[in-house]
Amino acid sequence: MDIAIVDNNDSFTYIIADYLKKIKCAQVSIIGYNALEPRMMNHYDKIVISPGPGLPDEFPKVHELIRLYYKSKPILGVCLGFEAIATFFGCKLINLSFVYHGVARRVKILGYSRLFKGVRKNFTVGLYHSWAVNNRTISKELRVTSISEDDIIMSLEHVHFPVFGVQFHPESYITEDGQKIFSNFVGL
Amino acid sequence: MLDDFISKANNFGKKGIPFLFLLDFEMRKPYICRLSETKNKGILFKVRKETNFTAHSIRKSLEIKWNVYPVSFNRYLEAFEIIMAEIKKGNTYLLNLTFPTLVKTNLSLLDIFIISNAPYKLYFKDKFTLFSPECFVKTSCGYIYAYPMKGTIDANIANAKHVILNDPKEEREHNTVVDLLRNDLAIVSKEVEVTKFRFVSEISTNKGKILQVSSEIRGLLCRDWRSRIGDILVKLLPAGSISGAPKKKTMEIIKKAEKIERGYYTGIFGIFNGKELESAVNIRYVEKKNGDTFFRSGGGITYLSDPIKEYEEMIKKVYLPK
Repeated sequence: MDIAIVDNNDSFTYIIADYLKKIKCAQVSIIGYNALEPRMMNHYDKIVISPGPGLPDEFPKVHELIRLYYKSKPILGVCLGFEAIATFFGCKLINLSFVYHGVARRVKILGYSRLFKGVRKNFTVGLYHSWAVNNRTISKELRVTSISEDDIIMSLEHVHFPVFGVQFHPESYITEDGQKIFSNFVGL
Repeated sequence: MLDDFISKANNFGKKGIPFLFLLDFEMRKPYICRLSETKNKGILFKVRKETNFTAHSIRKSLEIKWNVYPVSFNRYLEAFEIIMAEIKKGNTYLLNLTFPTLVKTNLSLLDIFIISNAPYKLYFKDKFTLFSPECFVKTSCGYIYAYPMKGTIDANIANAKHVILNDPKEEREHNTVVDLLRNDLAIVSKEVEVTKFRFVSEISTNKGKILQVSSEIRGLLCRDWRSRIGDILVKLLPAGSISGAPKKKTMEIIKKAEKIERGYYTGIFGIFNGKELESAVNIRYVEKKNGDTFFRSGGGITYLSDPIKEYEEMIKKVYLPK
């Protein structure tokens, strides 16, 4: 299985790759944002959108990528990648008054999600974000699958297609069950 | 220049020839030479137990003069505010902000090299000297190791260990640098794991004992890593602990805030002894510029940083460890 990670000039991308490479039969390619050509990504089976600095607007090719493939390929967005998925489907972001950088928080899973199969219902995650999805702007195509102890949306998924976004960093050392989340995504 | 460095290092590594390497923060002035030639070139080093230098004592009668003249708080605050705005925008989570401090001293760079005590020391052609407590990476038995250090406290404070391990600012900074270094090791190795998380060690300084919080991270190297040693080093740079995360954007912000070149300060140096590699981050760094002596220091800025405390911390680092 060929998995592409789109790297939005981030410094956690290679941990994601290391986690994915531990999974049997996963072939991982990292594609830097500058080199990304959304139309040329059709030969990959799955796409991971990395975290990164700033806002999704600064990475317009990522929205183009989601538009092209959300109906045909499983997509997982992490942090900035999550925010890109959320804004693509019409959610709005808010700049938080409290910045979560290197912060550990408890997260509660809401309902059933294939991404969280085998993950405990309450678990600790590592966070690096100063923006969050405004919970009054969730589009009809998405549903919330987990929330933090501070009532911030921690994950979203598409109601029909295998498109997932996590605000937290499953690749962080602080996150429990991070490897499981990546394995679930590869196993979809 | 960098390509030349990489191919020389790869070649020395492949043939098992011991060498010393030195890279600057901007990666414009890489330096490499055979370990056997260091002394003739005016380079003295100590990397843990390996050294090309036999101790001779400093003039005993000498009374050390050491007066420091840091940048003004206003200049510091100007840079700090640029960074805090970027942190709130999500452009950086952690950024190492540094400034040069003018030092009026009767010590020469060689004197400083001789009297300072640290696991990693370098004296480079009467241009600069450093005495660093911080390992960059080392190899051992097919693994590459990194030891990010973040968080120090005066050991005499009551419950010092408990206090430092429960300080939210230190914890966040440590989490960030551990994730950053896990990422960096994953660029050049595989099966990266944290083998020790937030362990506390004691360090002696001329101002008494301090406690330092570190972690140990390792990754498995491929068998032929020695013939790719130059590539490995360059891929890991700049060092995470003295730049920040995410690196690329953070580097742009550092340039905007500091406005001067760092040069070999916060670069790295190390040796390959023919079998294994060990290297340090170039901190605790004293340089000569136009006849003046400058000590360069700084610290990690995060959302919870207080500018006054960070400024004081930067100045506190301008000392000689004996």
